[in-house]
Formats: sequence, C-alpha cells, structure tokens
Amino acid sequence: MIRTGVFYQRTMVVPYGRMQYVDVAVGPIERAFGLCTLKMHTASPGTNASIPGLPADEGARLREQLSARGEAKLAGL
Amino acid sequence: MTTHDQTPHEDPVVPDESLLATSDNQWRRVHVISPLVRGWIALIAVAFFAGQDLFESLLSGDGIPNLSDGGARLPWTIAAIAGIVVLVAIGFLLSWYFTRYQVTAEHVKVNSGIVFRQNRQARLDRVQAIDVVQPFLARVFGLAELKFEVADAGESAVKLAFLKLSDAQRLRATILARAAGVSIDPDNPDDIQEAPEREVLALKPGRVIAAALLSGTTIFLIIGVAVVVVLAVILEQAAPLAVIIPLGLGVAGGYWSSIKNGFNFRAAISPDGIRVRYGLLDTRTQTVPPGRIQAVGITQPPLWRAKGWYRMTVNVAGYGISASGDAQARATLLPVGTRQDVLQILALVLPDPGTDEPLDVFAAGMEGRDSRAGFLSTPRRARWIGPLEWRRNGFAVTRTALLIRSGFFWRNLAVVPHERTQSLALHQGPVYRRFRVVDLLLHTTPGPVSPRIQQVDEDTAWRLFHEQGIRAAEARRRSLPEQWMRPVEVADATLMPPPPTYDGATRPDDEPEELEEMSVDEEGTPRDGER
Repeated sequence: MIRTGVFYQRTMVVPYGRMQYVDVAVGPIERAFGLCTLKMHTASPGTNASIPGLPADEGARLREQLSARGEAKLAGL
Repeated sequence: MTTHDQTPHEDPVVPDESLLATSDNQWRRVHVISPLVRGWIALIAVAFFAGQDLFESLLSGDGIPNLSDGGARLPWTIAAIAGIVVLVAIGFLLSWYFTRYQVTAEHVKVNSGIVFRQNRQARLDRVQAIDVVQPFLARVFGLAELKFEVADAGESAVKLAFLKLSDAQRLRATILARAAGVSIDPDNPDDIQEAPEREVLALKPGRVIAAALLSGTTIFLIIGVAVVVVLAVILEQAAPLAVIIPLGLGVAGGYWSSIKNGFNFRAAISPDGIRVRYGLLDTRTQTVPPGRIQAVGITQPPLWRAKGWYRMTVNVAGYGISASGDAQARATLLPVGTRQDVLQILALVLPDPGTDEPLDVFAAGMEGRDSRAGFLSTPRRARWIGPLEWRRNGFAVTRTALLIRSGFFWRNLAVVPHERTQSLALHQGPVYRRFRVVDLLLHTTPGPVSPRIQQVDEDTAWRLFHEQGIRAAEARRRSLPEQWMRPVEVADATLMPPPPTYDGATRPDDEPEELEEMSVDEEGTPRDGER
C-alpha cells in the first residue's frame, strides 16, 4: 500500500500476487544520499506504484522480499 | 464488390495432432504466396508510380509514346521494370523461405527474417486470444492469418501469415485444445472435436448502418457544419464552407470503419471461449478463452438512447491500447445491440453475475441513476463537481464483479470481475477533499475500458478500497485455472466478504473489526494504519 501527494493525494494497493516485476532505480542525486526508488509493476500500465527515497539497503531487502512473495502468490493474470 | 458473399459457417473443426511437431527439427512453412498477399499494397504503389510516367507520356504525347527518343529508352524501361519485378519476387521468396513455424505440445515457435533473424516462442497456456484474420486479398486466395496473443499489451506475439483457411482453423482448434488442457487420445483423435459453438447473436446490416449514422460522429458533424455555416454568415464569405469537404471526408471515414467492422457481426459461445466474427471486406474471427476478459465496458452515445442501443467493449490483455480503428474493432465485443443482446453477451462473459436480481442491477447500471438497485451514487454535497452526472456516477458490488457507472450524455458502465483487478488506487485532489469525496481507480490491463468510480463519499470509498482488495484476493484464489478444461479444485466459499449494502445510512463503523479478521488472510490485505 502506497500513499503519495500533498495536494493531489493518491493511495494505492498492489496485491503481491499481481506483481509482475519489481524495479529498483538509483539516480545520481539519490546515490549521493544513499537512497533508491522502488517501483512495482503489474499487468496494468495504470499501476504507478513507486516508493521514492528508500535507503539503499532497505530497498534491496524490500525488493527481495516483494519478489519472493510475488512468486509465491502469482497466479496468471 | 463481394459485399454479399457470406463466410461459410464453419463446421466443427477437428484438432489435428498431426499439426503438432513431433521433433525439434520439424518445421513448417507458411503459404508460398503470403509475402505477395502481405505486400500487395506496396507493389501497387510501385506500379502506380512507375506506370504514372508512362501513362502521362501516353496522354500528353501524340497518342503513342514518343518514339522519337523513347524508341531508344523503351527497352531500358522495360528491363528496369522487369529487374524490379525479379528483385521483389526474390525478396518475397527469401522472406517466405526463412519464415518457419512449429507448434509443439507446449509452445508455438516462429523463426523469421533474412538478415535480422528472429526466433519467437510463446507458451500455449499463456494464450490470451486467438484471431483468424482474412484480409481481402487473402480471402480471394482462400488464405488466413493466425494471430496468437499473449499478455504484452503490444503487437501480436505470434502471427502466422498466411495459412490455408482450413489449416488455420485446425491449428486454432489444436492450440486451444492444448491450451485448455484437453489431452487427445493418439489412437482416435477424432473423439475430441473443436468445442462445438452455439451462435448467440447475429447483427443485421441495417442496424449496423443505422447505428453508425446515429453515433457520436454525427453529433460532431452537426456541430461542425453549424459552426462553419455560422462563420460563413458572420464573415459574409464562402471560404469557411470549404472546410466542410475535409470534415465530410473524415466523417465518412468514421462511418465507413464502423460499418465495416460491425458488418456481418456474429457472436457465438463455445467451451473454448467467446467467438466473434465480423468484417465486410476483411473478415476476422476472434476467440477469447474463458477468464481472459479483464473488464467489460457498456456505452451508449446520446443518439442511441432513442433506439435503446449499446456498445460493448472489453479489455483483453493481448489486444493492447493502440488507437487505430483496427485495435478498437478488436476490443469490441458487440458493436451495437439492444439491452437484451447486451445482457445475453454479458452472461457469456460473466456467467455468474453474483446477484439475485441481475436484470435490475444491470439495468440500473446501464441507464439508471441515484442510489437504487444496489448502486451508490455521488453524495449530494458534491453535486457541484459534476452538476449533471452526479446522480449517474456510482458503483455497485456483486459477489463476482464491481459495476461502475458514469456519464450523463455518454452513458457508461464498466464491469470488472473481482479476480481481474490488478491493483487499486484512491485519488483525491484539493477540491475533492473539500467536498470529502474521492475517485477510486481499478487498474486493469490496457484497453478501452478504464474503470474509475467518480466522486464517492470518502468513508465509503475507503471501506470499498479495503474490502475490494480482500475480495479480489479471494476471488483470485478460487478463479479458474489457466488451463480452463482442467478440473477446478473447489475453494472455500466462506472467506469472501459478502457484497456490502451501502445505503447511506450505515456508516462503516464496524470496519476495523472486520479488517482485523481479514488481515489473517495474507494476500493483498491492506494494513489499516493509513486512516
């Protein structure tokens, strides 16, 4: 479950079983601060679930955990 | 024009194991004239430009090509044309030679390309839809293209162009039988026929044409013409009237494509899924196996209201979202139909509506407004956000699907089966926050239907948001297996939260308790800390 936005607030829930893949991206500024952005993708392009500004090791841990859970639950489309 | 020839009704086609490759080295080729059928437009263009010069000199000269100097050039011209023809023929032959395909028990593989080779392989049980397409010229030669869709939202995963029509049909039957998990007895393969189909609906050309004339295009035409005429009168010049010509051409194109794609439309049901056929010059047969439809949209342009007609569109994972008329036609499940037709088709897509009064619920969804028949609409305090449609915006939940209603002039109903929800989102901007309403979005695969519940009461939306996550997870767990003919293991029916009855009066006070119970259930369960 992800929440973003100050003026335009969005809340999103992404079921583990629906995740197709998980992305971890690090930009130059993020690298300087030791951060990363985690992104979850489903079969829908509307799923724009990203968690910006995670500490790098937390991001890696989360990625592993999420993809492990996704694998356990994945059920086609 | 061969507008009146009917595609012969397809007899049950026997899946043919002999079409499956037995070894890795057994490859097949598509029909030898396929490149010609595919490239004929380019050929005609070349011939047109080459011929134009000759033709012009014929006309402008003294009847015969000016032999004075042309006498020397003519053989060269002919030689050049012959050379081009030979080159093109060689190119076609090479492209044919290098295109090979193989269908095994698990995969379909295609190798193609002369310089840049491409090997593609798709799993049969991942099939989202199979189309058999016959462009006009292919129809003349009795050929067909087989398109195999997987969920990548782009171009077709595998295209076999072109095969003989009967081969294409047999291959489709074989692939579908394989994908369905039916095993064929090698000794008497005739035991299993292609799942017999039953025709559900056929559209008459008259209705298709009338529907095109009454579609939204006409409204734009009327508005466009009115604007132009008013401009011409105000400016006292006839110049703006010239705009009518391109406008008319565009509108005619719109009419043409909707007539072309609705013509001869027939829908049938078979255990392999829903099968629709349509097309005037190009004919197309689409088969969508059960459980591959991600969302259904039912729309009604304003002028169709008088006739009580609707259009149905679907999201299927492989069909993609491209705006071309072709893609739109593919995503159309019913170009035009009465409410009766719509319900009939809907029954195929969603065999269990999950409610005891499906007629009432769907009728309310298609043309109703306010909170009736299980629908809940935008609260009155938010009516200024959408002064016309606030009574129409709404949603209803059944045991199997979520129904989303919107649109005042263009009426819209989206139906999303619970197990097809990809993810959920709540959106709230500053204005919405002021009125304490939110939009709830259901993400599905790309397609014409984009389900969005507009302007729901905040508390209700949060409750729906939480419950819908659980409902989706539960529905997913007991949905059909990928191979839809395999026996289904019976899931526990008690875990699913019952469809709620939001009748405004009940405030969702009991929600935390309900959620605690639910968070035992692992998948997709949101945490409650966000409130």
